[in-house]
Amino acid sequence: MISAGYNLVDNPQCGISSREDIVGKPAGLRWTPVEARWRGREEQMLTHALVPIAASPAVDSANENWCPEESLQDDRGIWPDDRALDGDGDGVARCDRGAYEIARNVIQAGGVNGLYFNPEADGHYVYVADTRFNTMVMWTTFDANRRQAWIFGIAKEAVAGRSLIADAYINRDGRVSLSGQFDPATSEHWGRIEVEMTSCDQGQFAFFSETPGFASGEFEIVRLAHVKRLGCAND
Amino acid sequence: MTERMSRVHKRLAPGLNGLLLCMCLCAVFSASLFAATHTVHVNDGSVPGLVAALEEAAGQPPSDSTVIVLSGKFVLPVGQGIPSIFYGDVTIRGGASAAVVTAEEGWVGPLFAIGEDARLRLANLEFIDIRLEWPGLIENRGELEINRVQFQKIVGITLCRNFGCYQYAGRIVTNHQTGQLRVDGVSFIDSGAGGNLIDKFNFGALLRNLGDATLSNVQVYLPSGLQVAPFANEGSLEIVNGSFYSREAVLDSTLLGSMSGTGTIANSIVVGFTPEWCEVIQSLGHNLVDNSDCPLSGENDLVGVEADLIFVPVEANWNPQGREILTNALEPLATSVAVDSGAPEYCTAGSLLSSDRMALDGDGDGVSGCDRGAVERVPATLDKGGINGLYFNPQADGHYVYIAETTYTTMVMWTTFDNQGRQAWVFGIGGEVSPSGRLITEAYINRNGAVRLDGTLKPANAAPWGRLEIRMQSCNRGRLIFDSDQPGFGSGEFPIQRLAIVDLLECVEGP
Repeated sequence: MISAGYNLVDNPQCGISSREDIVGKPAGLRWTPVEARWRGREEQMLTHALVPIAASPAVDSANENWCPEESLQDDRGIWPDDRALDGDGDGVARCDRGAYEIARNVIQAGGVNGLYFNPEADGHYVYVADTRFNTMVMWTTFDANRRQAWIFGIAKEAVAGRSLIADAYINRDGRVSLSGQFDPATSEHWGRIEVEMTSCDQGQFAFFSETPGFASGEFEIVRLAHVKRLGCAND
Repeated sequence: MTERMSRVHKRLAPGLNGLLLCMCLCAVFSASLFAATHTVHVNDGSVPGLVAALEEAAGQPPSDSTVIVLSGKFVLPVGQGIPSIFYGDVTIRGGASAAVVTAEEGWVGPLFAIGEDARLRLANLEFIDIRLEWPGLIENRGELEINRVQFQKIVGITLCRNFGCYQYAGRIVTNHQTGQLRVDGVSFIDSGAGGNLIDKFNFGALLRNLGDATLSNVQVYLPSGLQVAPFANEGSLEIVNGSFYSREAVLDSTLLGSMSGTGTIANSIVVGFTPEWCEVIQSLGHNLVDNSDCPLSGENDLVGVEADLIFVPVEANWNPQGREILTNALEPLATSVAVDSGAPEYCTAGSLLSSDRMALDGDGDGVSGCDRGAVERVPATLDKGGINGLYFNPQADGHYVYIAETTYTTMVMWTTFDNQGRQAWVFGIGGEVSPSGRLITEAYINRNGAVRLDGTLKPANAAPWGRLEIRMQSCNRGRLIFDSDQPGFGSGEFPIQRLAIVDLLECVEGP
């Protein structure tokens, strides 16, 4: 295949290297139920689509010359003038790479901070801290053998105030003796964490790991608590 | 004849008196004319330059004074000594840029020797990483003033003989019988390790005083395993506003060895030392000693009380040119009884970190007062959400603490390890952060959850774990105290240092 540019391929061994190709980065896609309104059908249709999260490098990064008026979810063009939408909330509307175009959905700065849990399996927690330099995610959970585990992810920023893709790490070899003496720990790469809040109080948490004792998957997260003085509102 | 003589004398007297006056004035003028001050700058850490400057000072008339201004890092070669100062007045101080004195791998001999007719002032300097041969760094028989100086990792060399290896005390100052020693605003960190077991009470790992010595605003933070008393006093010793902390008390780890001298102590904090020293020094009051066996009984002395100190990085504004030295200081937490309880008469005597000691409201109760010890706590305002954020243990990285002040409660998540080295996480739920930055939470641990290899989650159950307590010292530093009787966990405490502040929330430090 000859690349004409503006592709996004997650496999780092892929040899395409045309203009603006992105190779070896996670696409940040979710297999998500969506309502589509396709040409020739009056009613909306419930289907599934590969929807990029707001932090995906696919969002708002397509070549404008190839930006069609239609997208997967509406081939009639539900947006009268252009498919291009401001998916990453930076104030500039551009088309996304791929078949699906995401709409603008921004959470006000600071709103993503807080504590979340999974209502279907309580006892695992996710903390998000949007700091002055980056955004951190702490996932306090368990491994497959029911041992306590904690994983932390660091992302540059919460895109649109609600979405992030973070390299994740696990710390090993630390210790706290019974008398309170500490051994330091060392970090090793664990995998990847993706957080996509769909509103102030709900979102999806996805994890990807090949570390022994862990796997990949995703689950819904619901807010347990807001940080005092930091409200949350959808813009 | 007599009358004539008398008249002549009366006529001459005004002129004679004038001559005598002139001679006196000339003498005074001459003295002041020749009592010059010579200033020498030694830059770029030039050790030969420093030696030359001291040789030049030695060549000056005894009435002259010499100021040697250092800048750069002075790396002393093995066995390096420096010309003795037998007379005159010499000041060696740091300049606008950093002045650090250190040594190559190896040892240095006595660095400064001050004669009975000499005066040496050391100011705004850092002595770091030096191994010493007998008898130590400074021998004083004259006047020695050490002002705003940090000694860090100054230890004795290790000697090995047939019967094994031992380490010299690495004494920093010996103040002889004729010596007058004034030490103000000086920090001794990780110095004086080891020592000769036989002479452990007489050595004085940091200072042996046989003359007259005053220590004010002095901090001592000792490494674990110290086997000699940091101070030995066979003369007259006065201690004011001192903070003395032994990291890990060992057998016979007393503050003050050698019982033959006289001494007083006031407004000071002593932590981690065995109590023998309390019997050989007179308390002038307002001391805080953690050892309950110490019989100190001056006015407002607190004995057997936790000092609640934290050893944290600080910037010491020591240099008149504005250079700040990054050092570590034993600061009292807001919850410490040392805060705002110092004796007012020592309130203006400066502190370890500045030349002025202002009475600050360190505990946030609305009333200002000076603190006991060498460091005055600067209050921090944490009531603007500033406690929120992520912290780590600077003494053992890889353990984290996340604090979230939520709409309903305050939560603490401690991600750490158990005593078997397995990952563990414990969360505390408590009330509000007090104005002094204190938060006490009931802590829980979740068990029996899982993330299966197909990516699905198994729920977990929470069980009581114990207690987590946060004591914030400032916006960026504090301490976590934990207590658990759960298998695999114990009790203890550790410093926490901020990794990140939550965006849009502020934390204000200052008086």
